Amino acid sequence: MTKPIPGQQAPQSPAKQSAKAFFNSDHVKAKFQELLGKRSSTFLTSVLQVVASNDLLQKADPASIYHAAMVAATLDLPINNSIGQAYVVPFKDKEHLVKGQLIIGWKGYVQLALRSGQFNRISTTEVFEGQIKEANPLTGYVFDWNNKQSDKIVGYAAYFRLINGFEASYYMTIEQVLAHAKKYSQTFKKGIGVWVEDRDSMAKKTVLKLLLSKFAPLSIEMQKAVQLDQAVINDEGAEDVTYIDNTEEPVNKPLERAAILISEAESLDELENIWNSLGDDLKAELHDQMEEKYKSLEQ
Amino acid sequence: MKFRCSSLGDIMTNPRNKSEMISETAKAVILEQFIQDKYGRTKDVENRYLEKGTMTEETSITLYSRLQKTFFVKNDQRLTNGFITGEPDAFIGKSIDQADIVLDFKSSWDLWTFWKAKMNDINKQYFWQMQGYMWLTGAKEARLIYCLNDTPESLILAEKKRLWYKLDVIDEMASPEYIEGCKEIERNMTFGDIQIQDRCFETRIARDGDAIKAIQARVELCREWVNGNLPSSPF
Repeated sequence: MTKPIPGQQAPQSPAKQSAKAFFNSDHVKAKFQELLGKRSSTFLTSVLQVVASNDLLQKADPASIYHAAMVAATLDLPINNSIGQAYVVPFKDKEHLVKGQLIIGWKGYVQLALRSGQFNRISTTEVFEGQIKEANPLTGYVFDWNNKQSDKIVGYAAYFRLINGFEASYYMTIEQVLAHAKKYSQTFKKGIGVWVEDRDSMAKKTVLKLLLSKFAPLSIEMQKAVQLDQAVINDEGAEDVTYIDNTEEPVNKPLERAAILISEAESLDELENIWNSLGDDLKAELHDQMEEKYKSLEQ
Repeated sequence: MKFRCSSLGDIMTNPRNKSEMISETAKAVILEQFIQDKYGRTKDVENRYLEKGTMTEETSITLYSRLQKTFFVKNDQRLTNGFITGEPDAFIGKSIDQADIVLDFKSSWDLWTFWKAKMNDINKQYFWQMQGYMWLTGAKEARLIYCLNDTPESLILAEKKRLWYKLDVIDEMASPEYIEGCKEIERNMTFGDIQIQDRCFETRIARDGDAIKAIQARVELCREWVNGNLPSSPF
């Protein structure tokens, strides 16, 4: 007989077993106990509350909720809608089976980033009409946060500063955010799901996730979050994964490399050498960072 | 028939028996190349070490760039002459076909293989590969750069799965041995706690005209062997 892969060791969910009964089984409790210790009962109560508050999620395959919850527990992110770090939301697959899908919230990414010990500051925000002082798609954006002219959101921005001083920001107009959602989210295209129910959070998450993917040093935990975010996880080892709304984009490594080199430059000569070796596309992307670094080295 | 620089080390091996024209290792390479040329099929050679090298190639370039304080970019241009083909990872100079120095990155699997590479003489396979690159680019020097990069998550998971099989674990969370083993795997396969200066070293190899002549002669010998021994059809 073929030996099952590790992920298949997860408890099987009989077709009609409720999530509550499933999560109350000794085996499942023991699994979370191993992972979370004393916090396991709070974690499980929270998962069951989320399930109880969503009619569709109650119909979902308990094993898929379990796998999503296990990944969240591994990352030590509570599944609690009011905390906003991780969510399990229902999703109907092609066979019309309802499954639980793990979503890491933008607060979850912030949490993982801070926990890595490499970040001094990290944040994401909506940008209102009037707050963009200078909009240059090539060289970047300058904001005036005191000049909010209306409640109309025109875009989303994210920012981080590392302990070593490297900082990066990323801005997307509302149109770019929605185009991104349209491109990568199956549920958005259908006019349902988290993008419709909580567009603001998803937009913040998108811009923050893209910023981190492009420029930040990703810890193993962060890589896992990026990899499994917005996926239905089919096994406990999280090796069999169905991507539904995953917005992962390939990291632009040369851009990341150039950004790191600029941030680490210790003299104007060094900075100029690096700058002169960059192609026009990278120069356009890094113009702002270069200027800031130049000023700081000049002082 | 042209040979890839990465296989030059194999065709340069001498036959055990002096009556033989070329070595058995060279014959195996020739057969692979013959099948590729005739049928357009490439033998898929994959293992975890090669996989890590491919997956972390850009990371290696970033690491070396940071240490050299110079921006290097990955070369994606394949070069060829009448005898060999090759695609160096990066270069210093005007262009890849007029390079001063060629760079080739090797991503070590762990600290042990990294230090072993550091302490050992230049791997012969790599020596011939670098001579091939220098022949193709005109470079006077090749740098073999060893990097110690964090292992990608998927490979770490594969190692954990390997351990799981090895320990024959039924319930992985109930096995302290497995849990400890997983922790050790993560520790041994990630290197964020080691400063970057300690995660890279380079070996410089000078262009060797005699070695390049020897490659040319061996390629000609291999072709001669093909003409006399490999039928154009298996019938």
